[in-house]
This record gives sequence, structure tokens and C-alpha cells, in this order.
Amino acid sequence: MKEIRINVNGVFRHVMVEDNEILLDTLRTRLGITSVKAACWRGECGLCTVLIDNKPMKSCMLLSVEVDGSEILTAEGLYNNKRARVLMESFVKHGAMQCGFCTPAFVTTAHSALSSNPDADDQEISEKLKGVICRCGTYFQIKEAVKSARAFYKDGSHETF
Amino acid sequence: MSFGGPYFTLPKFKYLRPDSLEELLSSLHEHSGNAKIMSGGVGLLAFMKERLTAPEYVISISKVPELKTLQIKGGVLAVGANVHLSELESSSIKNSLPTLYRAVKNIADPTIRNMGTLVGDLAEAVPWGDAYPALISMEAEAEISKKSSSRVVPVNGLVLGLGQINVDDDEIISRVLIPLRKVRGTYLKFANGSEYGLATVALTYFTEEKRFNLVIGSASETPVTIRESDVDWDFDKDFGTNVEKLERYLQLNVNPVDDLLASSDFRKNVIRYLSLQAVKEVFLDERDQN
Repeated sequence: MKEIRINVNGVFRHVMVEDNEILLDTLRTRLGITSVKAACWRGECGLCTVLIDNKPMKSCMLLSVEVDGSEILTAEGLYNNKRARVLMESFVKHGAMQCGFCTPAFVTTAHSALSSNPDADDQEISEKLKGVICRCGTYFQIKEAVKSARAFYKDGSHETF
Repeated sequence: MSFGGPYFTLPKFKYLRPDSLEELLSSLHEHSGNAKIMSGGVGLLAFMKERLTAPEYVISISKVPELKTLQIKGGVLAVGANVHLSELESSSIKNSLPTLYRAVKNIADPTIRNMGTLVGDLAEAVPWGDAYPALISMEAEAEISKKSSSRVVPVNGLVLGLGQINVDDDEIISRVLIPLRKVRGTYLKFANGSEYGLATVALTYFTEEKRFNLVIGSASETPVTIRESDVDWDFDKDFGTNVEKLERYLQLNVNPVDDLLASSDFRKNVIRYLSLQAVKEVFLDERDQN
């Protein structure tokens, strides 16, 4: 067992992990963060996407020991973020989900895309969201939701939707 | 800890994280044969989950500063083993190395590109890798280091087959060196629902030397390189005549594999289509500019 120090959603945690433990397991089973979904376990579906130092990464393909010292943000941590809340409201408003299983991953990925470039054009948004799969096929609504939250990331205006 | 069974868990191993290149090379020397190097981990962990490999030691290079560098020195772009693909994407390679930029854009998805590295993609040594054909077409070299020495070899010939690479157990590909010459290039990929290509074409045209390398990847165990001399391409002649020569060459000399994903004939047609698209993109634009 090794001790890792991570900042999960703004809280510093010391966690004891095995060498071969996968971050997805640590988050779900040791820390009880269930917005990070476990589906394919092989880096294809992207439902376990978390933000590590503000970059979206697939937690099923990361060793827990490898993220020692990093800042991890999941959908739970975005709940108190003003901009991300607007993005979440936009998802609801546009009906950008059916079963909702992929929603946390899409919200975190879109949040990182818009935070890093609020001027992102439609093509760039589609490109950045490519890593997450929605089996219900609500891609159109998801993209519309992200596009309409874009203005708020840019200048804080809330009027677009 | 987990649900058990392959795919969900990793086999047991000891995790090492050296802080310098020297330390990395000496632990690689010490555990030679029992250790695997992990940069991004996306390739290695996938193999380990499926129990295709189960090393005793996994050596992470994420804290080795020497391997994190991306620099231009003496007309060469040196890409360290731990430079993530997304860092390459946002660097200045878009105009100077179009083949590499397009190839990197074609690797997996943006989330995976935050984790994976160019050297990792090369070292994984799978026939459907995107980095290998692109690097061959750009005539890149690889710097391979071990405890007491290092050597620089052309990237072409480094991968011998599926999972086989011409690098010893105690060695690491520390950098990839890409010459910065005046080039035009493109990278095209045909993928059928998955991110793995059925066929890919990397084309780099060295404008000053008037020669090109067209590399066909994903269609056979190792990529096939076609040079202008192979097809008897004459830059002074009509584009149509040259394209006919290329088509004839592809028809006679390229024999793609026949597997579950696609038949050999289908791949052959895809290769023909991609090659023509690539030469049109690279050569016709140039003629229009002149």
C-alpha cells in the first residue's frame, strides 16, 4: 500500500492505495464519488472522465499512484462552480440526456473545453466532446446545450437561453 | 478491491517512479526483462487488463524532467518520451510539420491525447498505430538510451511486427528527433467505426529536394514506404500521368492483409482512394499557388 495525497473536489485527501489500483476504483469505492461511472474499463466510452489538473482524462486508464499530488475535479465538485451550474442548467433546458448515465462525463468534459477556450467554435466543441459516448444518442442536444452556455463562460451573460 | 476478472483489474506489480533519467536507466538495467515503462499508460494498462502482459515492475516516467522536453535545436524538433499528444497538438507543428499534426489529430480522442504520448504510440508497436507511419514519412530518428550509452537510429525499421520492437529490455526510446525541413504533407485515415484505421496514408513532400515519402500504414504488419523513384514520379510532367503511374504501382505492389475487419480487396481500394486524395492535397495545392 502507498499513501497518495490528492485534492478531490477542493478537499485534500490522504488515501492508501495499492500499486495496481485504478483511479476509477479509488474514486468510486474508497472515496464514494459515484458521478464517475464505470462502464467499459478500457478507455473507450469516456464515462469515467474526470478533470486532472483541469485536463479531462479517463480515470479507468490511470493508476491511482500516478495522480499523487494532483487536483481532481468531478461533477460533484462542479456543483458549486457558478459557470458549471449554468452549463448544467443548460443541459436540463435542452433535454441533453435520456438515461443520464453519461451526463456527468459530458458536463466535466464540456466544462474543461469551455474554460480553456470560451471562444471555441462549434467544430471545436464537437471535437473536444469526442472522447465521451452517449448510447441514447442525444449528441445534438448536448452540443446545443454546450453552445448556449458558451456566452456565460465568455462574459458572464446569461441571456442566451 | 474491484469486481475481479480481467478487464476490471490489473495484475499485481511493483510501481517505481524515478525522479531523473539516470535513476530511470539504472532501475531499467536492474530489472531488465521484468519491467515495462509507462508514459501515459493508455496502451500498457489496456494490455495488462487483458493479461497480454504482466510485468513484475512498472516504471513510470511521469516525474523524469529530461523526458518532458519539447524543443527545437539545430533544425530538429526533439519530442521527449513524456510529451503528451495534446501538448504537441497545441505547439507550433501545425504549419511546420503538417504530417505529424494531422497524424496526432487522428490518434484516439482528445481525452486520450491528454494522457498518451507520441513515443508511447510508437513503442506500443501495433500495426494500426498512427505515429509510426507518420514518423517514417518525415524521416524521423529515435534516440534510444540505456545505462551506459545511447544511440540514434532511423525510426524506419524500429517496429518489427505486432508488439515487437527493435529496442532491448534495458533500453528506452528517450526522444524522437524530427528534421525540420521545408515540407508539405498530410495524413489520411480510414477507420470503420473504431478509432483504429483500416488503412492510413502518410505523405511528406520535401519541397526543396523534390522528393516524397508516401507511407501506407494499418494495412500490413509493418508500413509500406513508396518513394518518388519507385513510381517513377516526374515533377516536370503532367499531374494526371504521374497519378496513373502511382495507381499502377499500388495495384501491382501493395498487398494488404485480409482479416476480420476488412478484406484485402476492400483495403486495396481504400489505399488507392486515400493515396490519390493525399497526392491531390499535397501537390495540386502547390501547383495552384505557383
